[in-house]
Amino acid sequence: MLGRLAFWHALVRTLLLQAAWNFERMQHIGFCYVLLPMLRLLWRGEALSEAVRRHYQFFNTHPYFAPVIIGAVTRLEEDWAQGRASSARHVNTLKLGLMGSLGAVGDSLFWAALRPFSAWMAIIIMLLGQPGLGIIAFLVLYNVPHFLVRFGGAGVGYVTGLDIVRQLRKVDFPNLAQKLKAGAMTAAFTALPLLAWSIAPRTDARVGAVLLGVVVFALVRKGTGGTRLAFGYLGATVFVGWIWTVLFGDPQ
Amino acid sequence: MLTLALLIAVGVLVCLDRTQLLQVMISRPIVVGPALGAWAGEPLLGVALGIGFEFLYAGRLPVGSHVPPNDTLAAVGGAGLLVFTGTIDTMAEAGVAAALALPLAEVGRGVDIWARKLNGRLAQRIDRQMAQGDWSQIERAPWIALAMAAGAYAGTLLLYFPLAGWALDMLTDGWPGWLEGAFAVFLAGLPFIGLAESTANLDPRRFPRSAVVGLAMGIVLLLLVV
Repeated sequence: MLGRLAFWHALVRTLLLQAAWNFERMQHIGFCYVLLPMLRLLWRGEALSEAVRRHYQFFNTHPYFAPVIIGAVTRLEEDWAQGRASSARHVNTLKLGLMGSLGAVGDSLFWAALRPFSAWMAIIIMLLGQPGLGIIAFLVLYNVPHFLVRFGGAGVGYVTGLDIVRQLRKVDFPNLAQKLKAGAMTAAFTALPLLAWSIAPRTDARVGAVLLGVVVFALVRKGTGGTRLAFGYLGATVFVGWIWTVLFGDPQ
Repeated sequence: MLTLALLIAVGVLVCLDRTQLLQVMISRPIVVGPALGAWAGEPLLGVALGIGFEFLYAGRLPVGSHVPPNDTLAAVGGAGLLVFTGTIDTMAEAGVAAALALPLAEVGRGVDIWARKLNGRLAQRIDRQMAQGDWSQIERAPWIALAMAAGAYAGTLLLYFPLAGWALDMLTDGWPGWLEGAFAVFLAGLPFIGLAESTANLDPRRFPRSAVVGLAMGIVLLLLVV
């Protein structure tokens, strides 16, 4: 068995997994960097260099799910180092097989579902007049599942090894993501009346904001987005303000 | 000067959290905006800026090799301006801060792409060393990459704050009432753009019941609060 200290050392290193991310081989430096403390315990001399070269290859997955793969790969490397030759041919197959599917699952679960859900819940709390509590709620709601997957997943990966594929199939990640998206939608629409009521400081600004918001909503549904949309909206507010002044005089 | 240095240090830390380090989401505008707003003594303006920037790029996820606009840098630029100037206390002025910070999202995207390209060169250097049997550079590479990205973010913010502070003064000094109102409405409506982006990304047609239930809950909550 590998030392618990080495395993924790590697887990902490996963927090730097994407530091040297690049367009050519993506997370390959980070993956190798995370595995190094454990490879050093398992291999010596030329065998260690060979192991480093083996893992200094293209790698890309969701950063929170990477430890699951790292745990499983560590287990296979350990079995290999202890003489179970069958593990050797599975190391790269497992790595390549899991990184794509876990990448897609992680993107859908964390980026597209849990993050908006946590953010909208936090926004509701903030709009109720508790900005500090809102920040804490966001970080807790998001990071409890995050660290559960990151650190718990590494443990499960290590314990199950090659069997991790069967273990992962037991969890219905797409359904979980759908439920979180539905939750995010509920929270977003809960925030809508609170937003309309609390953000705008004056009645006319409030009405203007809501009306422009409706226009913007229609624009977004047509596929406009981001910086261009925001500047378009700014242009619209300035134009409306100027027209107002021409017709009714300056409000000041 | 000390405020600027602290602001840049905080800005660099949260920008690194985005991809390179931790990823515990202290980089999200919804955290950065209210936190910097509280630092400036204007928590509500911070909340308005944070909510405004949070979902502006909801449809641009960091999937595969796609690098989305850097909304963290934009949030630091917008809410950080409250701290840097120390004079922003109205929705209209905060609206100007938001407008000045918007281009930072695209600038930050450029910085992110540049940092990733530099990482590619770092990888090539490691390749050459590994061909000679030396792989020790792998231990240092993440830290070198981290330092390069931190330097790039710090440099961007160092240029931005004095420039944006000057632009804010120029724009708001003796400005007409209609322009002031326009910027107040701009900031007030920015969260609605976020809401539209976010819900469009979640696809409301798939969750019509969630949207209706949410709206009803929001109205009840509002009635309770008011």
